[in-house]
Amino acid sequence: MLKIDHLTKTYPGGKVGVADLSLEVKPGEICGFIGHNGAGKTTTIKAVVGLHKFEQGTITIDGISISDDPLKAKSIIAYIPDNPELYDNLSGMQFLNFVADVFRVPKSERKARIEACARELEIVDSLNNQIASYSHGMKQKLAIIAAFLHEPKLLIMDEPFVGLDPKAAFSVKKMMREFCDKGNAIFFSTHVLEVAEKLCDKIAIIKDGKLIASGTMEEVKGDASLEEVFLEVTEEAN
Amino acid sequence: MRTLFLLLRTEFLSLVNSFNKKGKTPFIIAAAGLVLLGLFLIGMFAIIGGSTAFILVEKDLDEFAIYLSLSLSMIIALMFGVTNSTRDARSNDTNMLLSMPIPKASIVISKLLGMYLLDVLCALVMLVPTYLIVCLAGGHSFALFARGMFIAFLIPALPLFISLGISAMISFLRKATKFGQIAATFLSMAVLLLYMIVVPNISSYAESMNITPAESVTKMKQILPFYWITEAIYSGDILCFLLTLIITLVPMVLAVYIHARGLNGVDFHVDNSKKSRSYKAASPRKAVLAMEFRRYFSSANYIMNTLFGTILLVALTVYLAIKGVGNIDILEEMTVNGEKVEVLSHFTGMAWAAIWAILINFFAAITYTTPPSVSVEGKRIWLNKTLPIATKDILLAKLLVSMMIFEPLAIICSIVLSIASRSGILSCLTLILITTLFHILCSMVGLIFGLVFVRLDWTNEAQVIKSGMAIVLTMVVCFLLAFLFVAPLVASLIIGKDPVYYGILGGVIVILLGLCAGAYAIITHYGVRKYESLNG
Repeated sequence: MLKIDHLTKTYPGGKVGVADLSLEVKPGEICGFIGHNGAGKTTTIKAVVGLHKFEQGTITIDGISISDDPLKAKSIIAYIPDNPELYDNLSGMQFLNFVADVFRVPKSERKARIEACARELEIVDSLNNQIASYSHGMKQKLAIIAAFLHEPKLLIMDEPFVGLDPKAAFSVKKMMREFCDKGNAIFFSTHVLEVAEKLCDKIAIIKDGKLIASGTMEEVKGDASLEEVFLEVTEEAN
Repeated sequence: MRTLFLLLRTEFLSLVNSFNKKGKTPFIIAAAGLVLLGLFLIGMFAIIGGSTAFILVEKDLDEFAIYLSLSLSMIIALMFGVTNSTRDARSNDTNMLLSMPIPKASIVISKLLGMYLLDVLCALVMLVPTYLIVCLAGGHSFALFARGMFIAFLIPALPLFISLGISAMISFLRKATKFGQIAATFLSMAVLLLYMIVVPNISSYAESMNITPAESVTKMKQILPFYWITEAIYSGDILCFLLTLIITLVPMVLAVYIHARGLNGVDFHVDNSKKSRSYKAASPRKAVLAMEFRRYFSSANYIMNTLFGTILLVALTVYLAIKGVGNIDILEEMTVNGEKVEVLSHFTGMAWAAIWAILINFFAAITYTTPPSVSVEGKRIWLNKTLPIATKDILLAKLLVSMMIFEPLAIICSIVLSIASRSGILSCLTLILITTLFHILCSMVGLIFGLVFVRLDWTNEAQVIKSGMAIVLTMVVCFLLAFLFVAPLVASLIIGKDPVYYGILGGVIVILLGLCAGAYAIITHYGVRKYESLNG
């Protein structure tokens, strides 16, 4: 579903964001992307969703290159950033309608999808309120509803659990699992290793822009905990 | 008392710092700037008030002079008050202050005192010169001056009360309806327009007054509260003085009450959960356009800074339509070879197209929404960039918003002006074509500069809407273009023959088309690349 091949991204001034990174996420898989602050997680994610241009490598989503056919690629992915800056002056409902319009979600389907997701995340009563009045967690919930709205094939999430209450975090994990069980895929970054360990089928560890470990959860951690393995491999890479 | 002093000092520091946003100017220079600005405004209003009073006193209309100054000071105070009230009623620091061991009364007084003192200052700068002229030139005793000074401190209660009432109403509208922001913006504009019409014309109004003192009393009685206040100052009438106390002190108490309620959050609790949810569908392009519109109309700053030219154009068109084109002073006095000419018969249809094109193009040159349209996306730019929308469509939506705001009204104004000047259909169509192309060109120039000088790291959208290189350069270039097009249009007027008009206006249209095509090519190539390289 997602194939990153020898991705290299250098920032103006020469700082290397990501160096020769390759990984693959297959349909039905949840892939966790972990690393220290500034390791290159968000840079990689932004390159995947088309926010960052990159000088080397290829990124394909369901066989479609994000560089060559960005519109087609974007139409099958959904992205939830770490800090969802939404249109403050719109109501939650107006924002969801905007996203549904852009992805051409039929009127008959959008109602059912929005209501199901909003009920799961307990935000139904706030949908008519202005986004400016939302807390960080509510904005995050709205971004999650927007992401699931057009039934994408690949979901890209940057720190999706930050700001969510425990009930919402549980619901999101459940929604993620159900989403992948339908043959879709998720690639998400997190600092919460316990969540990654329980939720992910695959794990990728990045340090200083380079992928230092990747594979299925069993391949990467074996009998140890993910936390131990993470600390060990990041130390070794020094 | 100590906390009140601390709060007042903080309010003052915050005011001075608003002149020193980047923190690079020494405090004393920023404070001096504030004082200079104050002196300039005081001088300007004092000259207006003094000269108006002088004209009226010379006509033996002493009492009317006080009445007029009083009304003027109220309008100015109301303008400041309404502009202030259209911002969010509850300022950012209120929650912090309420959580501190500060008496609520101190917070209320510190917040109100600033507004009240500004209004007192407005009243004094208008009224003191008037009192002095009425006393010295009109031969009245200084008891009038003393009464007037006392009442000058009461008068600001009225505009203060009105602006706080408006603030509460806007707060309610913002929460209960979609139109609160638009209502607030239009209210600010209406008051600003009232100010712009009244203040510069007050002296000529006074000059044109040809009434007796008795007739002036009838005129003053049309607004009774103002008449009572004037009588209390002028004649010291006890009943009028008591009425003045009631109509100023009661609103003063109410103003304090409204403001105190506001501190607790005038929380007109609006329950949106019961509202039905709309699932209206639209095409992606329409959705992007609608989003651009919503963004525009959700920002009072944005509207205020971009719609003023359109409103002035409409106001001028209405004025010209009512007064009649042939009766405009400048045109009435027009002479050819020393002889007065009848403008309507002298100018042919195409000449009018040239005249109105010059006028409308200058309004178009200050009415475009595009220069800050990319920057206002700020950190939210990730949304447009990750959605499957072509970048070209996003940029075109920005252009369309600019056109849809100005063009319909500009076309109506063109038709009205063409009818008023009896210039004919061909002239009207030419006018519409020239002004539309010129405005499209201005919008595209604005978008190009908006992309070149984009700034996404703002903390307050006013930083990119009210200032910035994109806006300054667009203004300069569009004015320059408007001036450039004045030359051929004026040349066509001087030569004054229809074939020449056709040739010159046709040439102008061809040049405009060429420039528009060039700007469009820049947007769809350079603009698209630039937008795609942006990161919030």
